[in-house]
Amino acid sequence: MYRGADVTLPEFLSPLYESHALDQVDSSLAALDQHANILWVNEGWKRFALANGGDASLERFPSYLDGIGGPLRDHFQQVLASAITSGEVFQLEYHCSTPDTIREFRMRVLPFPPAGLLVEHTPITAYAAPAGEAAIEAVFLDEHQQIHQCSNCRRVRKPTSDGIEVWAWVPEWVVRSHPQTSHGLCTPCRGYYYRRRPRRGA
Amino acid sequence: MTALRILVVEDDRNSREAFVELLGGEGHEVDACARADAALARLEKATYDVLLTDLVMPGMTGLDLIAAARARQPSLRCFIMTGQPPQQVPGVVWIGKPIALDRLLDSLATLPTES
Repeated sequence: MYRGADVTLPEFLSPLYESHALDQVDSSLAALDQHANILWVNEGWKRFALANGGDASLERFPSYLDGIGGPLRDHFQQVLASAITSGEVFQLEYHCSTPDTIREFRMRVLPFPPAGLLVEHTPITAYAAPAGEAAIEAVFLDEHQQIHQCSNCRRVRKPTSDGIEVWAWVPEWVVRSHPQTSHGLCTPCRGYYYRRRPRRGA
Repeated sequence: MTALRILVVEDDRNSREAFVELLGGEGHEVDACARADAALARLEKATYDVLLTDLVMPGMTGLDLIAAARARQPSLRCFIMTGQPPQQVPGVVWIGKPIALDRLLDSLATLPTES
């Protein structure tokens, strides 16, 4: 159960990530145990909760499933359980609009069986073709006129002055990278896909 | 596998740290630089078996770095890591990103080593 803002990363994540690195990611991240209880959330999660009239302490929602109503609750309970059992990443795009703004998000569930899961929610509708290629480039080109893209999830990093990692999906660049792209890894993918492992042949 | 002396040149910090950690965990001696000019300075001071470099970096591309590095150490085995489409460059092994570590290790394992 989530017990407060000073809770450290759970043991299944702490060898792979540093909590301050995950706090620097703008996406909403939550670590869950195998029963979907929330063990930890990042600062991005708290910022999103506060900006949308929610409770950053999460005391009302000790389980991830508590925030999901109706038949969807059973569906997501099965999704999370299946991710733990299969060890396969789950992804879903969904709408979560406000009265003023149409919003679309992508949810990723990264399983760390048997201990738990890392769930990530990222907005995906902010950068798309109607804005024009040049306008999108202007947002993402860094001081060296390069675009930084995660080679796993294909998100691109938006340069920021405060060190917060803002990773966004630009639909045009998911299929075909911009020619000035330098490929790397976002922080969630670095910990998940390049985790420490026993020496080969040892 | 014989331990290799590997120089990783990668401007993305997450990737650079991951390669150092994972290749070092396999018993290789790994140094890393974030920029090509820093890599060339290191090549003046130390000898490596393998140069593992990103393609798109600030200041100098990975291909330009390989040309300059081979002028200093002609026997250097060179790998380009990139998410861009591969090119045909003699003597350069192209590895697509995201890097599959086992494929990279297999490629390194086939390299001849100095006796």
